[in-house]
Amino acid sequence: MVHLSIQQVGKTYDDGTEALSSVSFDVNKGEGVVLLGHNGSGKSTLFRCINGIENTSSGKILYNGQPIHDLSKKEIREVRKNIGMVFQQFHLVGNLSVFQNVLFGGLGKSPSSISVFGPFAKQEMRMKALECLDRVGLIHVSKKRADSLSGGQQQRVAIARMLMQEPELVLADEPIASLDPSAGKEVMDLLWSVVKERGMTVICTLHQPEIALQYAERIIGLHKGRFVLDQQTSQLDDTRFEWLYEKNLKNLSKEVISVD
Amino acid sequence: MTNHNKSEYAKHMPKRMKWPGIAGWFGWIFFLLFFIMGLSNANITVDRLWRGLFNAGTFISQAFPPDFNRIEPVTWAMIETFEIAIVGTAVGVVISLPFALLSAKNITRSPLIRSVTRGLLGVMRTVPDLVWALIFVVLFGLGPLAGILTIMIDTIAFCARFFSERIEELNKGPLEALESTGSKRGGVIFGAAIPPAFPSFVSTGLFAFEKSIRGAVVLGLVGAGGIGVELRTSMTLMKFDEAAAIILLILLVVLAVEKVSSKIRLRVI
Repeated sequence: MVHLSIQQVGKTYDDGTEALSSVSFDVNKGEGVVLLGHNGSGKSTLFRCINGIENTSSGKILYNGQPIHDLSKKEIREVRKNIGMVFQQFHLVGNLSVFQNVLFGGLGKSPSSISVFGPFAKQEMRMKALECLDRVGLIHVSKKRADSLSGGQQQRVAIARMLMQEPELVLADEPIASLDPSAGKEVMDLLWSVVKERGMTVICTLHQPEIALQYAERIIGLHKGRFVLDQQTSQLDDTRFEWLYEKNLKNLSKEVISVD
Repeated sequence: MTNHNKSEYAKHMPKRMKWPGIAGWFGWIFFLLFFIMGLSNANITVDRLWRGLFNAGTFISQAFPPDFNRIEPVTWAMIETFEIAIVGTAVGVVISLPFALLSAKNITRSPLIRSVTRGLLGVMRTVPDLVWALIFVVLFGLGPLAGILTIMIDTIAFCARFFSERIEELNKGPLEALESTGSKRGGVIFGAAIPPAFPSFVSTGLFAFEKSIRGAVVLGLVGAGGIGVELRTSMTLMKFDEAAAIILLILLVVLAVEKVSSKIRLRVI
């Protein structure tokens, strides 16, 4: 079943930069996809379009078959409730507790905003937040200030916040780009296992092919806003595999490859 | 070895002194005119300055020792001043928050709402507080209410501006993160805009309180309640020893407030 469908999506910013140019692909429910590309390849722009932070200039984005581009603010909020985000810079509220940051994951879905603020949150919400923290292995730092944690720990808190939200689709935008390799591996292992155990669909952007190969079931390549590769990881043949390793996405752009 | 011949340097050499343009000339003439007129209208003569010095001697000799006989009513008046400052500042700080949010670029997208809010704040700031006090005395009569309202307006004008500058400096990441959960605007603001800015709000609020306590003393002079009334009475009746006691008390309270507030400020930041 198709969960997210990107159809001929283009995005040109007001200053004339073309960030995306007719990109198309479908992602099935429960699939784990890595979006591979260098800086400026349009990965982030695509996420911003899916999440409604930016409007698309052309093309369609369908979520469970429903169009989600060009919506009213209220409709965008409804869509966002089911899409969890993980950011490169974690985006925690630094001077609040780890626990409070996790509670914020419930902001969208709870009937009133006040019910996710520490002193006013129901016992049920508070328990759930601790459970999410426990899952990412950080229950022991629940009372600490978020900005006192290491980068890897902060990203795990951000994952706990995403779990609190209970999304169907997870968009992870360069989740390990600002972490050292060992913390990065820990975060990727955690992200992939929580997403898989809960049957969530995940699209994760990365710029390192070797990491993409370890986790993704499918790799989609973007280069300068264009779609250059779409391949099941298990079916990557040697040539394309080498291309990936040489980070030579530029060469791939000469022939657009897609397999179904 | 240089790129150019020394003889070419002349055209690149900045002038030692630049004559002002026409607007500059007018500015200077305007300034000098008022400066000279101001000096001459103040009627400054050696004789007057000499007499002032002599009066200071009389004032001081009559002011000491300070007369603490009326300490009880004076203390109550000081407490009233303190209350005016506390109530006015607290209410003002709370009202500053929506004003700050409505005038911050990253929170309020509509330029119309932003400029209306900024205009209102501009009026509050540019009208001096004694003028506000006179207006409120006319509207609500003599007494502390006029003082409280004046301090409130003063605090809003001061705090809203600094609050909104702080909000505009916020890292937009956490704001986007909370927005991406599908949260309504209020949740995003209370979750990711106010908490990071809070320490700075407290610090600014404490500065406002220090300002308010000094302001509230002066407000009494125009009848807006508090110790200023007592001070003016003692001065008009030429009871300088009583006035000295009042001034000492004011000094003590203002110093204490500044001490405590800087202690608290160090702890929040």
